[in-house]
Formats: sequence, C-alpha cells, structure tokens
Amino acid sequence: MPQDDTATIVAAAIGQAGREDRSSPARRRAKKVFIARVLFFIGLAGAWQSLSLWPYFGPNLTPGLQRIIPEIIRLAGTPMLWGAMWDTLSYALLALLLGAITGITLGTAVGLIRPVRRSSRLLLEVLRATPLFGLMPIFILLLGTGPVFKLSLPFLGSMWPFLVQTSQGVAKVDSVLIETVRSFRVPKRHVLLRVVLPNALPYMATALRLSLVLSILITVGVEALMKLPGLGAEVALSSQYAAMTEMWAWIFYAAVVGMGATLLVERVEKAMIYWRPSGRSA
Amino acid sequence: MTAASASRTMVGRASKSILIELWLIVLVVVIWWAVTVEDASLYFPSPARIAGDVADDFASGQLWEHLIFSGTNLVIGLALSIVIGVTIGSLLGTSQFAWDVVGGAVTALRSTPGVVLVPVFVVAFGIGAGAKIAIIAVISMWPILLNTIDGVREAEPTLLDMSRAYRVRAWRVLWYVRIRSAMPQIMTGVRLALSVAITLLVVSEMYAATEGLGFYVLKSQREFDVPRTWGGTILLAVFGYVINVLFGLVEKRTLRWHAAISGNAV
Repeated sequence: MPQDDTATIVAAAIGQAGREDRSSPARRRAKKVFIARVLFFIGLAGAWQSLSLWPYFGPNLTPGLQRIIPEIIRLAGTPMLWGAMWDTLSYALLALLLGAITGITLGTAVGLIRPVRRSSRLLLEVLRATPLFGLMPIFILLLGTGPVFKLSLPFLGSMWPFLVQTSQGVAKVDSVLIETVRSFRVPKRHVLLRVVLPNALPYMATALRLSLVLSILITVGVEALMKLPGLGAEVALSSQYAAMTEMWAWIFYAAVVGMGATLLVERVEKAMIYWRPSGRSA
Repeated sequence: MTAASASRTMVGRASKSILIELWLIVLVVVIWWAVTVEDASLYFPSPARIAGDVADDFASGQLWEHLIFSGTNLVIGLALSIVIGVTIGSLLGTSQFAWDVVGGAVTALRSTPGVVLVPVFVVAFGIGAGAKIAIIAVISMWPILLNTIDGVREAEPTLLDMSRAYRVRAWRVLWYVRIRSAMPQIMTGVRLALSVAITLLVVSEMYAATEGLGFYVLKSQREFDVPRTWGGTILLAVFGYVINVLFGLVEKRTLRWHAAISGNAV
C-alpha cells in the first residue's frame, strides 16, 4: 500500500521528529524498521525450512526453498511460463473489457431509468448473489469447454462491479446539473456522454479496481478446475502429479500476476480520478 | 371516507410497487415454463421437472446433507477468519511499527489468487471438511484484516486521549475503543469476506470433494443429469441470496448502536 508508506514517512517526519532534531530520530526509526523487516523475512524463511524438514509436510507438500527458488528461476527461462501467463492474462483482460462494456451499458440504464431499476432489482440481486463458480457446470453444458466458456465466468464476474457501481454513480449525478444542461437544450446523447458518465467515472474506477483482480482470479480458478491451459492448470496439474516444487513455483508466478494487477490498479485509479479532489468519496 | 380512500390508494400504490418489482422475475419463469412445456429440449428442462427432481433429492435426505455440509463449513470458516483477521488486524492497526515491518508481506500474500491455493490445502488436509474450513478461514481473512487495520487506525483521537488520561489498560482500549469504533469497517470487511468465502466453498467442493452443494452440481453435470444441474445451480443461487440477506440482518443488528450513537452525537 503505497499511500501507507507516505503516511508513515509523514508521520515519522512530523509526529516523532517534529519537535527535536528533525532527521536523526526518523532515520533511527527507519533503520529499526529495516532491521525488523529483515529479521521477519528470515523468520518466515526459517519457518518454511523447518516445515520442509518435518516428515509429515516436507516431502509431500513443502519442499525446501533451496529447491523452489531454482525452479522459479528455471521456469522464467522457459516459454512454458510466458505461454501460461499469456493464456491467463489474455482471457482475463478480454473478459474484463467485455464485462466493462456490458456492465456500464446496463448500469447506466438501471441507474438512469427508474422503472428499469425497480423492475430489475430483485432479479439482479438474486443473480448477483449466485456463487459464480456454481454456474460453471451449467455453462459447461450450454457452451462446452472452449474459449467462449473460458471467457464466460470472468466476464460475468467483472460485469457485476461495473453494473452496480455505474448504476449507483449515474443515479447520484447532481440532478440540478442535469436540469441545467438540459435547459440549454443540449442533446440527450451529449448529456449522457459529457455530463452523466464522466461524473460516474470515480465509481467506474472502483469497479475497475475490483474487476481486474476478480477477473484474473476467476480465470485462474476456471483453469485450475477444468485444466484449461494457463497458470491455474499448471498449479492444479503439478499438484495432481505430486510435483510440489513445480507447484510452488507456479503459485509464485500466480501471486506475481495477482500482485502486479493490484499495484497497477491502484496506480490507474489515482490517475483516472486525479481531477476530482474528493476522489472516490464523491 | 377520506381515510378509507386514502388507505385504498395506499394499498393500490403498494400492490403497484410490488408488481413493478416482481413482474420481470415472474416473466422469466413464465417464459421458461411456456418454452419448455413440451420438455423437448435436452438442455432446458421444464421448471416442473427440475422442481420434481430436486424435491426427490430433498426427500431422500441427500440434498439436506450437502446443504448442511456446505453451510457448516462456510459458517465455521468465516467465523475463524473473523477471529484471526480482527486479532491480527487490530494489532497491525495499533502499532505502526508492526505494520511497517510486515506490510509488504501482507500485500504480497493478499494478492495471491486464493483459488490456486485450493490444491495445496487438499494435499495438506485431504478432501474432507477440514480442508474447506481451513482454506475459507485463511483466504477470506484478508479483507477483514485490511478493513480492521483501517478502522482501528481511524479511532477517535479524543476517545484515545481520554482513555490515556484515565489510564485505561491497553487491551481494554483496544477492545472497547478501537475495535468497537472500527465495527463499521470490520463489517464491510466481513461482507467482502463472505463473497470470497462462498467462492472458495464452491471451488473447493468442485476441485476435490465427495460432499457439498458444489459437488452435487458438478456431479450432476458430469452424469449429464441436466435437470439436477439446473436445480443445484438454482439452489446455490438461493443459498447465496439467503446468506446475503441473513448477513444484512446481522450487520444491521451489530451496527445499530453505532448508528444510534453517531445519530445522537450529531
């Protein structure tokens, strides 16, 4: 969390160091944090290593880091890794794009048109509460297990946040603003594209933040369950073949992708709503 | 007379709004019914057939067992994740130093897609209830933990100063001041955790299991039992919806005092 880091620095600069000598206590604290962090990671690694030596876990589940780390490095040099990442990310991102378009369209209709909102409320609520992976078997029946199927679950998963957020954002756009613009006889299309949707943008940013991570997670899950090519299948298959070293290396890369998405989304969100001082709380 | 006519218009308005809320869902079912009345389509069995097959499985008791298995695992797993998440979260939220040390590791761990860890838990804990509870507890803990950190940090400074002035013990401050005032954020975290937990529940029941609603649906699909696949899916939808409604009630109850306090204060 980058904002926490800045908060820490500010707190260290003002709070602790404000009154006396400005730099030295802050610097001393930073040094302490650094040492504690190193110790913490050494402790984690040590815990893992002792788990690997424990006869119940070690051989069956948690090989030592001396085996996992070389495997992680080895994988990075193989086309297998990049192929699996491409398989996962291309589907996750395409599903996100389609989900965003559908969700924003439906969300605008639901948010702007009152009868639509009221008629669809119950149906949408029940559909939204349906566990996504619970739909998987039905989708397999109807769609088979091809590319359309692989897109379907992450598509639905990333559509919901956009639908919900957009409908809320659009419904909360200042009605005086809309009336004012209308009174100037601005065409409806422009009211929608220039006034309503931009004002709902912070809400869509929130949806994007939720959806990108969700879409990747669901794609990986579908791959793991149905053994469709991608990071998820690599984890599931190596676990099935009891190849634990490979499994942990693949989990590492799944974590890297997940973390990359989380960090990226935080950046994008800031960039998207920079012009709105109140940000998301609007 | 005016009262009677007023109440009549009120009844009229109420029934009208019920109509507006319900017509779409009724229409979906009616269309489904009308289209499948011949029971000709392999993939879209008639609602009567689905309901009949599901009722049979309820009568034989097997569906109850699946339902109870899933429900119990969800509740125990979520309860554990609340305990762990709130405990660790309130410690990390209170001590800036602790957060500075472990924050990076927390960020890395919480962005790991939880579903890839399902195979790990299956190897470690087998395919029974233990593995399901463990994975729900561990993965759905993250949103609770992060929200608790945020909530605990934002505790009212006046209250904290006051407690310090009266020399209230640290753990009492943590419990009565910090965690209490963090309740809204914690509940938001639990709501997020609930949807994570349901996802993990279904995935873990589909990955390797012999029980549970997710298993029931996937098994029906593998056996090409289309009515039961639909029935199980609808049941899962109802399961998810009911759990969400129940949680809404719990949330309202938990936060009632909070709304009351802030309402009086303003």
